[in-house]
Amino acid sequence: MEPCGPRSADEEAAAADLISKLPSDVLVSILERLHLRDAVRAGALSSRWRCLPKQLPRLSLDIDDFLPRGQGHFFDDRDTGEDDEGDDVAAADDVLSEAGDKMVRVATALLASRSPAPANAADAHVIATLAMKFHLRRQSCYMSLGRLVDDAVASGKVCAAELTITTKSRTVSWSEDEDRVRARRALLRGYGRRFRNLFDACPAAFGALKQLNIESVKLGKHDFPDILDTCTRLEKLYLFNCVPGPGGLWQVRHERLTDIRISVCGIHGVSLEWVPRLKQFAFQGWFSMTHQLLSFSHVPCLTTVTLSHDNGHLEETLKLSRIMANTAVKDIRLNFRGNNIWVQPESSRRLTDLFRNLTNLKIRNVHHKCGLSWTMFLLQSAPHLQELYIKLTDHECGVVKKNVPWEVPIGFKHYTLARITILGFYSNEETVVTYIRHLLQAAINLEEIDMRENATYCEICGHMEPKAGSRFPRTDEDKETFRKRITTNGRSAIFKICIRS
Amino acid sequence: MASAGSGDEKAAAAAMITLISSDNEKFEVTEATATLSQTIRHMIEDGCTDGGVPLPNVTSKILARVIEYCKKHATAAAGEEGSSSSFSDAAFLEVDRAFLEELEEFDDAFLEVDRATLFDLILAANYLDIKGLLNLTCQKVADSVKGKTPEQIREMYNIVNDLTPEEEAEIRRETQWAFE
Repeated sequence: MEPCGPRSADEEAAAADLISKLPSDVLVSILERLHLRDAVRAGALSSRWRCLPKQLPRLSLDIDDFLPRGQGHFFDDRDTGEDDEGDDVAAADDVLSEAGDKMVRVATALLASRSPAPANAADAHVIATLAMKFHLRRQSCYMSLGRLVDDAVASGKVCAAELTITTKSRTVSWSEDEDRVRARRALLRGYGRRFRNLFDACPAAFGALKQLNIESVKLGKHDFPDILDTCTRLEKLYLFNCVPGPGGLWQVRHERLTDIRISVCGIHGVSLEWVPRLKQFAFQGWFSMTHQLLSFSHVPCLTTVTLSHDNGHLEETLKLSRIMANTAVKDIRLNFRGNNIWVQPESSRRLTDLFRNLTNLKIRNVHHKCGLSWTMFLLQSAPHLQELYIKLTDHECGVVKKNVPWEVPIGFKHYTLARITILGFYSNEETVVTYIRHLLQAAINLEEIDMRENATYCEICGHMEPKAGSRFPRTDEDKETFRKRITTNGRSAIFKICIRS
Repeated sequence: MASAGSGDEKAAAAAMITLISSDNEKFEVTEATATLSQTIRHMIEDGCTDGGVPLPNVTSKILARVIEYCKKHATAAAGEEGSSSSFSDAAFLEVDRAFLEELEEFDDAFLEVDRATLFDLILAANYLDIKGLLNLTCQKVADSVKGKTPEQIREMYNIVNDLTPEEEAEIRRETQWAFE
C-alpha cells in the first residue's frame, strides 16, 4: 500500500482546493456520513484522499441501500387493502434476494480488501466497527452475511459488530381477524427459527456485537437468555415486535448493556436484575398490566426511563412507586398515547425517595378527557424537578377516556421547577388555563413557560391532529389576553411566557 | 442574574465564561452555552478559565457564529442532540417533531454560508469538540458530494487529480463494487 504521497507541485497551484486542506480526521468524519459506496469512491479523488476510506472507523452496509428506491414495501404478506402498491410477495422476495446477493458481494469485496491486525498493529486497517442490516428472507443471503461477519471477527479484521436483523413483517394487530393473526404469527415463528439458525452458526459475530436490533421475529423461549449469554460485549439492545414464547418474562443480567429498548414485544414483564451499566431503558407497548411488568434490582447507572403504552379502554393502572423501585433516575418520559392514564396518582414517601434525582419529566399525549390535574402528583413527588414538558392531545381516535381526579394540597409549592413546555392545546380552553394557573402558583422559581400550538399528525392514528382550533391564542391580542388569564397575581414580570403558533 | 434564586445550581447556571478569539475579541457566554464544547468543558472542570479562555485557532467572525449555534442548542430540548437525525430514535426518546423541526430550521438557516466559512466552522467545531456542530457541518459537505462521481466532486471542490492513470485504475480495480 502506498503512503499518502507528498504534495505535488500541481496541488500547490490549486489554491482554491480548500477541502483537501482540512485535517484527515475531519475528512474522515465527512466520509463517515456518506453511504459506504460514496465514501469508498472518494478514494479515487487524489493522492490526498486515497488513504482516507481505509481510515473509516465504522463500515455500515444496509440492505435498504441495495434495494431499488420507492418500489413497494416488500412485506411478506398481502395487505388488507388500502395502499397496496406492489405487494406481490413472490416479487418482493425476488427483489430482496437480488439486493441481498449484491450486499453479499460488496461485503465480501470490502472485507477481502482489509488485512487482519498484524502483531505490530501500527499499519493495520482493522475495522473498528462493522455494521450490517439485513432481512431474514432468503437463507443464502442472511447466512452468507452472518458468516462473513463471523469470519471477519474470528480472523481479527473486525473488532466489533452491530447487527440489525429485520423481516419486513407487519406487527400483529389485535383487531384483525383470527386467520390473519394466525398467519402472521406463523410467519414470525418461521423468522424465529431462521434467527436461531443464524445465531447458532455465527457465535463469533454475536460475541463481538456492541449493538443488536431485532425486528419482527418470534423469539423462542431460550433465545433471549441465550442472546444475553453469547453477546457478552453488547451495549445496545433494541427489540421491536419480537413476540416471546408463552409466559414471556425477560430477566436481564448483563455486564455491559447501557441501552435497552423494547417495543411492542408482547411480553408479560422485564426484570432488570443486574445491569450495572444500564443508562437508558425504554419500554413501549406491553401485553398485560401487572406489577410484574417492570422491576429493577441493580441498576446504579440508570438515568433515563421511557414508558409508553396505549391502555385503550382499559382502566388498569400501575404504581410508579412499585415499578420504579430501586431506581434514582434523572429523566422520566411517559407517553399515554391519547388514551386512558395508566399510572396511578399517589403521594408517598417511597415515590419521593425514588424521584430524589428527577430533574426532567416529559408527559406526552394526555387526552383532554383525562384531565391534567393528576399530573401534579408527579410534581409533588419530585422536589428537584427542573423541566416539565407536557404534550396535550384532543384527538378522538381512541376509546373511552376516564378523568383522573387528583387534589393538590392547598399552598403546595415547588422550588426548583424552572421551565415548563406545553405542546398542543385543548378545545376546552378552561382546562388548560386552570392547569397552568395551578402550575404557576406552585412553581415559585419558574423562569420560563413555553407554549406551542401542535400542528402535526396524530401520533396514534396518523391523521391530522385538529389544530386545537381557533382556541390556541394566535394573534398578539389573543396572546395578551391569554397571558393575563394565566397570570392572576401579577407574577408575569418574573418569568418569561412564550406563545408560539 | 442570580438575584432571585439561591443555591449552588442557580449560581452555576448563571456563571459566565469569557471566550477570546484569535483577533482578541471577547465574548461573554453562559457556562451552559460554553460547555457544548467538550474542550471548554474540560477547561472549566480543570479550573483554567479565569481571565478568559483564549481560542487562538478561531477568529471572531467564526466564534460569533459558533456561539450563535451553541446558544440555540443549549436551550433547545437539552440532551436530545445527536439523536435528532433519526425519527425512530425520536420516538424512543419521546421527542416531538415540532421541536426537531424548529431546530432543523435554525440549522438550515445557520448553514447558509459560503464554502470558506463552512470549512472554518468545521475546523472550529473540530477544535472545540462540539459534536452537534461538527455533525451538522460535516453532513452539509457530505450531502453535497452524495451520489457524485469523483470527476464531479473534483470539479465542485477544485480538487486536482494528482494520481497517475495507473494509480487511479488500481484504486478503481480494488474498489470496483463502488463504481458499478
